[in-house]
Amino acid sequence: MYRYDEFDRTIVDERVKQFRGQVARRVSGDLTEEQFRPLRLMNGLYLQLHAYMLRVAVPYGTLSSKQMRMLAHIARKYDKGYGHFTTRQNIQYNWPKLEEVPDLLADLATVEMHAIQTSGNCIRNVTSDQYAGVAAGEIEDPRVYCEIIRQWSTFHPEFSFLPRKFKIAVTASEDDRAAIRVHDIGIQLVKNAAGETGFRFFVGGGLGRTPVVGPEINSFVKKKDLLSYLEAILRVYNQLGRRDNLYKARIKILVRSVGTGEFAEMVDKEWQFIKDGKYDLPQDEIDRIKAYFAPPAYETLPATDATLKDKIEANADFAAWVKRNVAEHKVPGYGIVNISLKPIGGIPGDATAEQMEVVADLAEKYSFDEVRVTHEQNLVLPDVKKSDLFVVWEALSASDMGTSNLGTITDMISCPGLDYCNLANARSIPVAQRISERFADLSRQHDIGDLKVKISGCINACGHHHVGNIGILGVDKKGQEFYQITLGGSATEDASIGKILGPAFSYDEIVDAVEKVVDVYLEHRAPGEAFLGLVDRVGLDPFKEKLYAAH
Amino acid sequence: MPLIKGDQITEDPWVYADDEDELPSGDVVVHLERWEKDKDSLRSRNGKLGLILRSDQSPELVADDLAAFDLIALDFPAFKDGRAFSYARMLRERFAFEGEIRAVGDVHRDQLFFMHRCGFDAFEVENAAVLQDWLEAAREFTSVYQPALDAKQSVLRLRHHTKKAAE
Amino acid sequence: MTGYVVTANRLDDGEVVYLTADRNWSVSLSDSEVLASKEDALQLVSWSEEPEQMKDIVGPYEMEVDAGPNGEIIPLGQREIIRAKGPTVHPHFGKQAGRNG
Repeated sequence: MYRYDEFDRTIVDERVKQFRGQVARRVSGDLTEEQFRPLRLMNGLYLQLHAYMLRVAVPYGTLSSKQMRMLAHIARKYDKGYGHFTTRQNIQYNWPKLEEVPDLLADLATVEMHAIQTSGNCIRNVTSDQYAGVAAGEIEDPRVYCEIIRQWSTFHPEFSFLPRKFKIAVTASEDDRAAIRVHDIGIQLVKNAAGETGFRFFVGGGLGRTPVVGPEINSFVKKKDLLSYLEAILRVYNQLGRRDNLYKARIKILVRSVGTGEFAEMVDKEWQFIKDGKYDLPQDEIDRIKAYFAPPAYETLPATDATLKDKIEANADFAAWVKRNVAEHKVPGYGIVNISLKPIGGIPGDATAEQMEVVADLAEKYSFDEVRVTHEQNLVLPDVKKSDLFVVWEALSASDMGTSNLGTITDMISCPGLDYCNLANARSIPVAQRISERFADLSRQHDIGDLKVKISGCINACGHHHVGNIGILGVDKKGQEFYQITLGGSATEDASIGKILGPAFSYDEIVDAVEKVVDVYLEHRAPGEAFLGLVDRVGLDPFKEKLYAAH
Repeated sequence: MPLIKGDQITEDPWVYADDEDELPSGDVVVHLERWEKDKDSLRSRNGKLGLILRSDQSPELVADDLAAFDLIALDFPAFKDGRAFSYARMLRERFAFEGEIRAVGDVHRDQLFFMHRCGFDAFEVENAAVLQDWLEAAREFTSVYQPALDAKQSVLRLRHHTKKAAE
Repeated sequence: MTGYVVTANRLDDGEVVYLTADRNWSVSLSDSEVLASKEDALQLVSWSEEPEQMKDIVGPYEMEVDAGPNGEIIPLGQREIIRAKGPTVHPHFGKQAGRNG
């Protein structure tokens, strides 16, 4: 993974010093809250319902064991012993004190981490595929370009006061595990007819009040043009994105209002002025960063491992976990381990300091010192030998991280919701917990199969409900919590926005309603038919009948 | 308003004229609307001419007329409105404007570094005390990732000692 | 009978606070002053936005409350109920745990 050089370190250290000064000026009254707010936001510090919340950046979701241990240390020293992994591969702490945040950031800087631009109207964390570098079918490791974009976007002097936040995601295969189609810019590495590698650009995707799948505006941008092309898009957006209405300020609104073709032309026109100049990406720099993402020293192993086979036969729980949570690795003899942070009845995406340390130890010992954070709020050990899977599983299970539920109905995404968040209309976490408990039975979960449930506590959609197979949106009706169900959403390469089923359900009714949706699925599905396929085939009527018949 | 230019507080020789005012003698700054109505008479008067643009008025609107101006003032109606950062770069990079580019309006100390990197070389500020802040702010970041308009070499260049950097 | 209370967050740790009759900020809703009218509350919100107050607190606003059977102050709406207690999913964090912050 990337290691800072003296320049990277200097930039982060100077930022900590700058923020320390800004906090001091706020505390002394030299800065008003109105002046201070955008500054603290650009350092990821929110004011939430009960306390401040700090969002620490995990660039493209990649961490070393040392960094994970620091996250655990921060949880203990500055917070209440836990952290929350988010839908943008970052981590959030819910209880920091304002005047301690500069020290917290200084501690992070010692392990090459920061909270820069994790909030505010600027370019945010560049996210990626959690299987980058280890899954088959990938053209190149997309994280190389994530790192290049991260540096280009950090303290960009022109793009720090955009109309609104800006989110970029990068993948490198046909499989989209990073939801690039619902990002402001989604970039997919592709090869053209001549075998050259370049970038396919999708612009104007997003969730929130106006969910939309981002259209393609350029099918092939050369590697050397990556930064100049990004500049062109951002420059058009910075000038023409709406600034009169907070809810219409994202780039998706601009793309929609001028039309995809016209928008692509506007970008191209701007690009003509700046291409082939100082923004050309030197091959030297690509090579320099690529070296950090070189594959680790894999052993030459047989594709199957005899001891693994024995363990699977001897232990049904382990067998279930291997089947569900271990994904195929491109190197024979290795597996990709998915760590579930969704224990039955637990808070999705939360991890205690102790759990973080268990993961750090496992990463260091069994996964070439690397861990990934997924946008679905789980963790990944990317490079585990098949012969080590059993001991890894045992350690995970002992720490409540061994649930065999990757991708099942209990592997939910849930935003923090009204328990924590200032923007929320309703609680989301207890809904997730109760759904999880309702479907606790593992064989039932496995029988249902892959089913993505995503819960947001408000229309800002941080829980990605629009792209859940079953989406749940919390709404406020006269101070009471109600929940609207959407069906048929997807965040993968066949991205789609879910459709509203009907009137909202109360806090007491919502879990039964979700169970009825599942019943309809089980009743109508053809052999091997996934939930999305069923919704496509039979539409919403069977679901409406079942859920609203008694109303 | 105190004016920061060239790392000092300086006297401001410019006077802003409203659209209906009689033009004073000397260096005067007009709005775009007046420029479009009175180009010829404005061009032919004695004294330097400046233009002030609102945040919704792109310099592209006066691209062909830039030679007439020694100053372009770009307004920040609210500090969050970051359009002028792009306008300043456009003036310097696309149109090779060499006159003064001044930031006016809701200009915050913590933005001065970015403004400078985008090509602003003068700043109207609330009070002269901001000068000390600006001098500090200008020194806050010794390393920068992106090539821009200030004198700093970007990290990209420094890492690779490309031919361009040597020129 | 509804009334209004002025609430904010403490600058140093973000804890929810309520304005008392002697113009202090308390972490307990039960200490707060209940204003009869929204106008009265809004006046105090303006007062809270003065620089002297904004050194201690952030984001003051008025919230509606009810009187309970024993005269206790009850927040209206789920959001204020949660703000007054703490996160429902972490009963050992927040005000409900019986300590500050």
